[in-house]
Amino acid sequence: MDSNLIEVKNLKKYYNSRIGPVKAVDNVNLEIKKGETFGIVGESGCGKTTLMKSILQLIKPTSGEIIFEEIDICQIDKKELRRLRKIMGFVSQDPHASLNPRMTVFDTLSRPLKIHKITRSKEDTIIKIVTLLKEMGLQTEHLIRFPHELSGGQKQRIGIARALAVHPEIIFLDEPTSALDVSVQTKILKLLEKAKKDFDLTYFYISHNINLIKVISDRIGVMYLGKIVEIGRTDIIYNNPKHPYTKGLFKSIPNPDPDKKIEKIYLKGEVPSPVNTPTGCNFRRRCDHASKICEEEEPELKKLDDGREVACHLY
Amino acid sequence: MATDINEIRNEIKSLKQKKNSQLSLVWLRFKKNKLSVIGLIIIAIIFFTALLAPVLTPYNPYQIDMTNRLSSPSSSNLLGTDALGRDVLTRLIYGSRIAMLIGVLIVLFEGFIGIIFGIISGFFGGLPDKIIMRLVDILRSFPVIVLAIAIAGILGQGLFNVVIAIGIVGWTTYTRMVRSKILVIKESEYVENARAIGESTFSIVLRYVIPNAIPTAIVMVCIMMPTALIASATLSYLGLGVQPPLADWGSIISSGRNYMLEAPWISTSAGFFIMFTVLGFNFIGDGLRDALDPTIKRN
Amino acid sequence: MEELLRISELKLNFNTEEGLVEALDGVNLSIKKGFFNGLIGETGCGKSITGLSILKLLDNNAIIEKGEILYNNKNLLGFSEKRMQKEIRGNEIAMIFQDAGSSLNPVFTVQKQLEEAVKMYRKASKKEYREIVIEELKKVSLPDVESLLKKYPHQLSGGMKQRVMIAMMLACKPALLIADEPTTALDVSVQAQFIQVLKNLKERFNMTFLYITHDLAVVNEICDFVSVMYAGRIVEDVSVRELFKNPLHPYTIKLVNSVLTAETRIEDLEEIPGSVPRLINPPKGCRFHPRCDEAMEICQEKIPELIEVNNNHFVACHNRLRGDDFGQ
Repeated sequence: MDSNLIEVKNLKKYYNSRIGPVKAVDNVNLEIKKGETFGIVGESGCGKTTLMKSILQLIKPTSGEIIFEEIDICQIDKKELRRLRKIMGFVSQDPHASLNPRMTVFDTLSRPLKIHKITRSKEDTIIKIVTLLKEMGLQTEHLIRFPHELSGGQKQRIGIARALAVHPEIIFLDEPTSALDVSVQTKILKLLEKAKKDFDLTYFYISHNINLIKVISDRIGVMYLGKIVEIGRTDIIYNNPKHPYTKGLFKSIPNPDPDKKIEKIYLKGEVPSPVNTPTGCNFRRRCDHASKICEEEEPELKKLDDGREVACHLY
Repeated sequence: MATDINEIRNEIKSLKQKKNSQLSLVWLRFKKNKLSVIGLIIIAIIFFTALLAPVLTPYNPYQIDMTNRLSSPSSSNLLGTDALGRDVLTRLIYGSRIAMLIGVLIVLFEGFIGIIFGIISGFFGGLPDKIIMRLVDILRSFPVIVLAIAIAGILGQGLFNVVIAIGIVGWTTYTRMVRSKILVIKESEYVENARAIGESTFSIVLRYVIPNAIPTAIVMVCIMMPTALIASATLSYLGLGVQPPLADWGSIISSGRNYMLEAPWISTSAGFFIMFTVLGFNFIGDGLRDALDPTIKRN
Repeated sequence: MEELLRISELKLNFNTEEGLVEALDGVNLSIKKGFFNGLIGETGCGKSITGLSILKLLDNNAIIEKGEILYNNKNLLGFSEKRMQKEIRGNEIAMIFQDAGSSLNPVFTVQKQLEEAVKMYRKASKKEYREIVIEELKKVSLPDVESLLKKYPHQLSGGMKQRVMIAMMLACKPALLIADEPTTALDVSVQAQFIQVLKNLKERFNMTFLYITHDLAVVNEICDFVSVMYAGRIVEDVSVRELFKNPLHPYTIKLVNSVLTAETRIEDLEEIPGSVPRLINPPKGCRFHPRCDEAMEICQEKIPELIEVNNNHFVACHNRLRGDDFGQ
């Protein structure tokens, strides 16, 4: 559990817009350890999807390093990249949009097998795909279906099966259940949990659903406006969040317990646009504890005694 | 796990038999639209009469009979005769051969160029896109028919010259439509997922982009066909199309023009032929657009 | 408790190219005056259609087979389109949707849109209109109202658009506000603020809400009473507290169990076997029986009626009607 699979160092992704640079991902550092589930939680526009796609090399980062097997994967050539695609799987948010509407389930699942030469013959491919489908709780009859002939949950299973087909080491999951109903979500979560055990996988999971991230992750990072504001072991952060944003965010979660309801609004206002972010601390305008130093100096991630890191001048 | 390859194959086979093929689904949906079916019937009638012209009509379209000039519609000449005593209906039926041929050639010519340019421009962007799109802008800034007349004038009469004269501007419509469709496909999540599993650019274009752009292209063809027909009829009306005595709808209208008062049936019936064909293709195009989109669920 | 609106035995089908979709099958729903009435269920269960049918905003392939929607002792289903538009929509019953952005007109400023809404129910001078509009915007706790007036919808964030929508609806002083997943597209922090706004409105103006959502946690935060829908029928009708403490219908029990809390462990989550049925030729009898652990023979044949088993706790399940098992 301890060796790092991927290390992200000073990763930045800036976009140019008419009113100034958009800092979608701003100086993010993190490690993904082998065998863990690392969760990123944050509200819309915090840069979590951009971060994930940058690590996956689906978006070229502006600067920074992503170290995998001692190599910076931002610098590798096409051939190496293709090898990397076998190791890193990706499941995207919208199960419907992620499947080619003109391909049957069989075609969709046979593509990764062909690209990475996993199976040697047509027979091999068929057997492999049928086995995979059964593991996903689907049947042979689904093979000849097109995406629009499947339900949301079934489509997401196909998405996961596509990622699993080539035996990756790590799968990047971009809110794979946010478009699904809760009862379907349960099934997908169980499926992911089982696949993780069966295939020794590492997960990088992003979501805006805080309870979900809590349930699934070993370690989490909380993102706000392109930056990680708090990172560490899930139980430590949940039991005692330190960063004012994390605190507010956790307290905004609607609670399914009739004895506990949100009594007070902990987060004022809304996430500002990531263009021309304020100097100093990004969060200071929504923060009750903001002082002079927050205006002048950008807080760096600091390690606390319990092992977590927080980017706040209070600590 | 009991996964016997033959068992699976048989299962897939029987599943496929039970399931309606994609094509039959398209037909099922197409059929629901009454106007489209009417359109299809019109085009089918015109197509088959053109194909079977010599069997269907007792007259020779080039047979001049000066004793029977400008006779009005009767049981022997259903749509009357023209100034040279030729049967108008016969000439119109033979004319539909030319019209269909020219129409298909034009659509193939402009469709081929337009779709390829559209794919290059939409998918690769950058400099090729800039060059292609500026060329499109330039060509489209000319009045289409004037440019076609000029080109036909330079190249001279003849079937293939008509195709070139009309197609030289026509492809730009395909390019624009296909390009905008591809821009959407390129940004789609399924293309991103394809990149994430390691698909090459070539494979993405071949397996993801083109299959999803095909319905757009098919509908384009049905919508562009009438435009091509009208343009070619216009050219031959102006005397720049196929050479007489070959019968062509445009030239029939043109030759009937001088006898509009004594023999209005010549020009009018040719006009109706063009109108029905154009309507037919438009109806089919409308129906296909809906039928080819698997996601549209209608009442 | 006073009833503001009552839907009884509403049966509604959709004529589609694949066949007849039995979308609502005998829906009974009572909306209690001055409360937040929740309507929950998963995708395709018919909760939005129920909301839309109250305002008769259905697509034209919808066929209302039977049933009535009683509002002030009048059956809304008997109203003509013109009468609905004139008497009911907006001024008696208003509705807001998930995507507030598309409900606002992009070419008008906030001020203009709200003024139009105000003009529908009262005449005033230009200056008065402006004051009324400001008043309405303050009701939904929008900050910096003066500068907001001159903004266009695209300049507002999702949460603000949703509040402007509410302000617009309030301008006509409706007695009932139907909110169809109003917070689904919002971030949690904004959602929490929005829920507060709705709660304040209810307190101050004694409004009645029908809150349609799939999110049980949100239901707990806001609703007083809840109706649980499954495959076109109401399966349970209960107070929010009882919903979480003592759910009775097998579907509700599983649904409540699927909600993630910070303490949930994946191993403990219970799956509901199978999936939601298609509503073309839906299962006979109880529509949940193919997925139910407790299904008996009678469940396959007879539709269970919604019956009061405890004080104000209604459930439609044959198992709960035998009298020996109230789930406690």
